[in-house]
Amino acid sequence: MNSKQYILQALLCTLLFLVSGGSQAVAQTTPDPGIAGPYTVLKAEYNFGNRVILVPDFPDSLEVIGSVHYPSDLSAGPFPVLLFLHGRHSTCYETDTITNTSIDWPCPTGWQPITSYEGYDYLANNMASHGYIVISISCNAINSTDNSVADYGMMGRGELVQYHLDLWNTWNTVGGAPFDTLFKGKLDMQNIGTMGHSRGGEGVIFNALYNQSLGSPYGIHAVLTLAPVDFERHILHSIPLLDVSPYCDGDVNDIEGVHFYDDSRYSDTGDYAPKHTVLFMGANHNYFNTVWTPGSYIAGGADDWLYGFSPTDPQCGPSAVGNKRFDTTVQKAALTAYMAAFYRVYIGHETQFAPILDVDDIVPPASSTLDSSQVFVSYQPSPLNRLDVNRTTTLANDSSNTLVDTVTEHTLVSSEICGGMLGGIPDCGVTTHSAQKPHNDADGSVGGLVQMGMRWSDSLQWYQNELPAADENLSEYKDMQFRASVNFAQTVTDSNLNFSVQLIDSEGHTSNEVVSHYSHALFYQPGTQPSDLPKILFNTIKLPLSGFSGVTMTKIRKIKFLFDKSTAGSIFISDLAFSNPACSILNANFSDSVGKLYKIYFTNRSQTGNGDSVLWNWNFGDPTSGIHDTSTLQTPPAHTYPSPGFHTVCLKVTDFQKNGYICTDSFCLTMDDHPDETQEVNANKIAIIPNPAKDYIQITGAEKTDVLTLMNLYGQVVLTTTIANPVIYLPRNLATGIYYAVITTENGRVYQKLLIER
Amino acid sequence: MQKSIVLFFSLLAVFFIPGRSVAQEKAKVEITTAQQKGNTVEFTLTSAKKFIVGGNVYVLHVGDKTFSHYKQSMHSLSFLIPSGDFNNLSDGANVYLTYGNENEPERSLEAMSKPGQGPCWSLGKFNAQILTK
Repeated sequence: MNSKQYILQALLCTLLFLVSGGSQAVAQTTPDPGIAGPYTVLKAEYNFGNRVILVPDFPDSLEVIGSVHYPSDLSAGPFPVLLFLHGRHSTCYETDTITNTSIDWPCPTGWQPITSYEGYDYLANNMASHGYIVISISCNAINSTDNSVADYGMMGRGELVQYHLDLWNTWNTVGGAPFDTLFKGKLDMQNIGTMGHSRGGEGVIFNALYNQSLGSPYGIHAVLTLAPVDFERHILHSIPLLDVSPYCDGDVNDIEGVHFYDDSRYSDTGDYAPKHTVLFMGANHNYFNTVWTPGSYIAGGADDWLYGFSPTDPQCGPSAVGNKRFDTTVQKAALTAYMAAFYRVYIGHETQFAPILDVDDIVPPASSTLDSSQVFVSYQPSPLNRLDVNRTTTLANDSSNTLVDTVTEHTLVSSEICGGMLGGIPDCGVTTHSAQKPHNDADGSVGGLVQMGMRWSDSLQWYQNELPAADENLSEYKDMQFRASVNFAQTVTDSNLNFSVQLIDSEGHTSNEVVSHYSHALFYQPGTQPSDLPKILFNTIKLPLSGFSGVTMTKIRKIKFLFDKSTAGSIFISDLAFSNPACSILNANFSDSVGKLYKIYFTNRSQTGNGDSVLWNWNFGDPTSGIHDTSTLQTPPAHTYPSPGFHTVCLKVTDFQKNGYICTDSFCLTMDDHPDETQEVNANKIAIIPNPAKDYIQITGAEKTDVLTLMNLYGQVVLTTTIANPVIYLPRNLATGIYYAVITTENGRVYQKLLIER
Repeated sequence: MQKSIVLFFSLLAVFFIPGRSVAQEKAKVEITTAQQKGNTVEFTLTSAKKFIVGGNVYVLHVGDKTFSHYKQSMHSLSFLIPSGDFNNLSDGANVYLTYGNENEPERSLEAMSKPGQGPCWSLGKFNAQILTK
């Protein structure tokens, strides 16, 4: 029996909340990912020329130019790899005038290249100081002519990135000029993160898809899009994503990057990758790149807000008294902190930073220099870590939710599913200006965000989702979450909104929590720039279930939004879900090895929370051994059985989590005391690599319609997916241990034992 | 007397010369040529002020049709319009240039083209006679 349960420490949480003053989420102690790391950093450049390669999908030859930041002491390598791709910007400046710029490539006589790829050195320095090898590549040739190419050079960008990865793979395996063997064996080409800014953002999406189409020769495990365009609306699946949106973007002012998040949420059931967005309220487009920033590079810098918008806009206008713009230092510090959190979680596996991205900790890292009114986060957990209540993706979701139960409202002024612009779903009617409703844009067959709009005018009005009996047990989950945005067109200007969320159990008990205690996301969007501001942008609101006392968490039947805190207002919501299974991090597990004379050794492979107090209870299934039949040691002694045969050994782990939850997990293994003779059939030449695996596996020789089922040694299915993509990311909550991978093909099943090491 | 004259013109400047309104003023953008090149018409706009070189695209709106592929230099944009599409454009249709805002409905563009309203320029009415072969 492998069971999980938790005991909610409601009294303790209530006490903590009261002590904290009840005005803010419970104080978090998330470490700061943005401060510099221990490594001394060196920088080197490589330059093979301005027009030296052709890639398949761009008409002109391209440059091969880049830089690398790396730890001066490479002895601890191989190191994870980050690759940055800049966006579209002027490519040359005239050396005489400095102010004259052009988009020629290569630069004519008397002109010098604008080295946009060097504009992220501050980010590269920080990440390299944490033990990353950070590459930044030049893309000026594509920028000079991409507007006349059908896809605006996006496939070319993806192929250029792949070319550089190939180059680095060569330097990593055999070496070569200009680095000789400096980087030989020093790069982990199976643990790569990419970042693209502006058109580079869509470029790294294309690259990740291209890499997948090639069978994933490189392990791209995190993609960050920075103020990106999304012209083509290609959808990236199965790789963790972070999109960074600047509210004061004067270039990509329709904040197209939100589509990378929105479009990928539910469009592939085999996609287990989490997704995030970060919204910086005072950031513009250009200041993330120091080469594009006036005053920090010789030529070509500009405040993009002034490309077409008012310098006196109260939020984004740099000349407005009291404006909320980030200065260049703040903007860079903000990106440094959130980028570091993303890569250090998904590439570095430093999960202690996850609360910053998961909306568990809405207090920005100190190194970002921001406060919680300046940055907002959206988070779509892996489907393994959430229960979707109402995705708000269809017209029917205003009366029937994703759990196929009833949705009702009481006397709201209006309530309707809207947005998306496809499938007969009405426009939300906020504004005609597309830049003010970035989520809504449709493109071809890809719709925009479908959402639930609600307007209220008195405190007795409500909106409710019911839960079927089969899903009433929420005791596994830590949080309830949804995304929301104020509808500024139907809300009193500059008024922040608030309401209560009520849970109702099957016995009619109720418990309320107030949204503003946990989130500032119901803010009235600032700015008055006609055609551009305010903007409707969705952010995640997360309420810990520990705050709801007096209801039975195993019998929750209704979630009600009570509009009792703001006298009137209007909001849009989406993605209502329960998330973050409380005990998902705990996994009891062990392996055995058989010695001589029926002596069996055990290796504890259990996963528990960092720093938690843990109790271990072993039972060796051998009552004849008396007191030696049990042990409370983390690493138990070897057990000698009196005779050969089958023995069932069980381990029960009790994890006292720092946040007050107590989780238990049990794992039993029946073994004979002969060497393992597990059947491994590989008749169809299907292979799973790597083995041991860490974050992903790659399956070769399988058909797209074949199905992978991953089971733990007790036979529990922990993952089922089709093999449409040969690279399959393993759920984050899988503990180190041995699993069975079962691949079901047309011709039968193939089994392989797989060791997952976390 | 000389000081008074200086003061007078200084005051005049304060009242009549806009202050820091760089983004409010819209550089003049003009339709200059439309040339047939193979199966494509290169529809060229020019401006004395540099066009933006950034992440977004310029979009040429002719009536309810939009075009966003073009060759760019610092002071000109040559939109690449398939001949068939060009031939179907209606004489007298309103012509606008926007930076980004490809999905902006036609009815919003006139307001957006006013000073201070965003990166949108009204270029007058479309006239197919401009085409030279």
